[in-house]
Amino acid sequence: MTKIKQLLLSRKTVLTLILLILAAVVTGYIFPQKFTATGEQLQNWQDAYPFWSLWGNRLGLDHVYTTPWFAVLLLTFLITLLLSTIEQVKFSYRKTFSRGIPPDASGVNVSASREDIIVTIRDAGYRLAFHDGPNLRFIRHRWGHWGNALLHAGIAVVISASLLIVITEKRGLIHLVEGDTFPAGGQWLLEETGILGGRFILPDAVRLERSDIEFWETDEIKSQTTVFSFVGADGKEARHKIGINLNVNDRGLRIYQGRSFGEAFYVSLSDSNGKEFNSVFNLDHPFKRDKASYGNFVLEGIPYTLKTKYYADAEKRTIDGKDPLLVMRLVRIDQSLGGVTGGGKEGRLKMDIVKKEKVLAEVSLRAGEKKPFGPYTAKLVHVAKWTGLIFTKSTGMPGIFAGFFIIIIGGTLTYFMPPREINAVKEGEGFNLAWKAAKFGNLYEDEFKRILEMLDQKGSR
Amino acid sequence: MPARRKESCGRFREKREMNDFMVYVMLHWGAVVVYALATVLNVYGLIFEKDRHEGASYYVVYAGLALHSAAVLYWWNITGHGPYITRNEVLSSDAWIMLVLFLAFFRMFPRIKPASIVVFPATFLLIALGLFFNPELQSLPPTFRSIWLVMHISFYKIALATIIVAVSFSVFYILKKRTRISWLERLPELETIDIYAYRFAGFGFTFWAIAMLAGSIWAHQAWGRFWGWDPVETWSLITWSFLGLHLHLRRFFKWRGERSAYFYLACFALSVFALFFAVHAGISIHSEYFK
Repeated sequence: MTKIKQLLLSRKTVLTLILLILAAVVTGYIFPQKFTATGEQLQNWQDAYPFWSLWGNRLGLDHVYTTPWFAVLLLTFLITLLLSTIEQVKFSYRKTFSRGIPPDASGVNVSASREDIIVTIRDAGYRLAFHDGPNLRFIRHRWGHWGNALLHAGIAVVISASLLIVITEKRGLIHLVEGDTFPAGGQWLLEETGILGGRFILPDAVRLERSDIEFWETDEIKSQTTVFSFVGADGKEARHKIGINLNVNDRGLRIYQGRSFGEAFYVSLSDSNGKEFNSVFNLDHPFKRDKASYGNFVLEGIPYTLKTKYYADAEKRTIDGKDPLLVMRLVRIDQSLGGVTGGGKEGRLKMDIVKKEKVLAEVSLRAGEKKPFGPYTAKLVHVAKWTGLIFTKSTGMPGIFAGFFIIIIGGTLTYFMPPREINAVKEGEGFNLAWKAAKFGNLYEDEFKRILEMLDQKGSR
Repeated sequence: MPARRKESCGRFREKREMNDFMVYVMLHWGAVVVYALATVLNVYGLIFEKDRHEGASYYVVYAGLALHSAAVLYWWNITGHGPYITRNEVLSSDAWIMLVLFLAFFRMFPRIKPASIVVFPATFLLIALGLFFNPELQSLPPTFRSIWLVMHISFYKIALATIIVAVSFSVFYILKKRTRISWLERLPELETIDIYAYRFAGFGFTFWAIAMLAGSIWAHQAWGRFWGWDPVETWSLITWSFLGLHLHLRRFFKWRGERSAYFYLACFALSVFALFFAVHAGISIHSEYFK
């Protein structure tokens, strides 16, 4: 047990762990990660670096932070940090509360009285921590001994809390159109859960009541608020308002405003036989009044791709989306095999697919308008707002807050209040004064010199 | 509103904005000139051991600081938000905080005075660099209305300032050890320079940690996610780990003096990359706002 403890507390172990974590983080930066890169980006990278992608798959380098080896690494580091913190706490306690004069304390002889020494050293900001007969021990910033311990404890608390969050967190994202309801247990647009998180199921259905967005004259967002309701199976409703930097808590769930928002276009296409194809296109809100946002859609029963773009204002005068313009193109995409390359040692073949697009028709629609659209008639039936809602359930965030404040206190004590002490031991008629600083001694030597000068002045009077 | 009146209102607003920009830019250039003058006096005083010139440089730098502060406050009043949105605002406030912190630390630790030879020119160079990124009026995104964001940004600025002081002492150490430049004799002995470098490196490490944590609390408040491994966050963590590594190598593996100074130069380069260039290293929440 002691050997394991010694190994974990060894400076070389700590250094090795820091280097390994650093290497893991750099690897996570170089290898595209599953949760930040799109499937296409991952595929492109794998095609470009087949050798590395092979190792990437074996070691899970495309999801470094969720691999078991990274968890073990972080946990080992946390244990070393905790053990080191415990040692430092013991050391700090000893230093702060120990009584007695250190036997190795030896310094400068002064011929001053006990009272003069007490007054002078106290005036210099030191406090009498201990006295044993004529012998005295003064400390300045005695709590400074706790700086390192607290700094390390703070980091340990933050890492523990982060691990707890990562392991237990549940997080789900939905995009909801005004008036629509997301059922409890519905399919999330994006779901992330920790190893111990389990499936994320909402206690009740969620209905979006209203999405309000205000813009500055520069087209940037001024404010965004969303009103939604939890709708229980018994019909009971609990209404909430959220916004940017305004989240709510409901039965342990925290709900945030999503970053995406836009308009939902209810489009109806009808062919010459009168058959209708109805769909809703959710498009992001454009960034500027004269810029469009884009989206491609494939409708069941229609053998073409619908390429759409949308301007917030048909006249391009405002950004508020009150009179939006939807432009749709009916596109036929023909795919053919362009060629095959590769083979060689790795035996991987790469096929180039050539896509040819032909625009068959184009139509611009305002809400309520109906126009011919190639072999169809298109109608923009209705436009509504949609917004993103983020639901989370996690434990551990208070740990991050606590760690934050512990680090601040630790840092302040370590770097702004390094402890200094003066031991005064009776020697003959005078005293022997020994000074030492726990850290940065060279920077505070003058402090002791000034004390000696003052004592000298008092002695010569 | 009739079309003609609307047009004249628009023109009036444009003209007023032009005036605002002009006042802001002029105040900044004024500060650059005054800081440059202070630098000349300071460098001359330090190198040729002219105490009068060195002393005068501080009066001049305070005058520059007054102009600079006026520029920052003026723009704050116009934009309605602190100096942390556009590149120009960021660089200007970085320079301001660095100088103010140096002057404050100088009161606490008078022996760091020679670091002015790095801090003064760095101040006016940062502002001048900022002026090349044309100032623009940008509204405050609603996500930015959070005290945690203010702490996040302020502590990074403070960390940068302390890192610059630490790197100054690292450079002084190397120069003093390797060369026989006479003015370096005015610096404290090598051991003390080394300790100053260590102490300010410690400040940098702590402030960087606080900045990073404030950022994660802000992100949690805004999006329910405290860490997203985006390029800026990742590089910030890498830099912080290197800063921590530096302290550990120094404390436990006796990497003192020159070796520590060289290692810290690498840490400094990393921190500059993390603060100013990582934002261009990929798409992220950070890049959306600062690119």
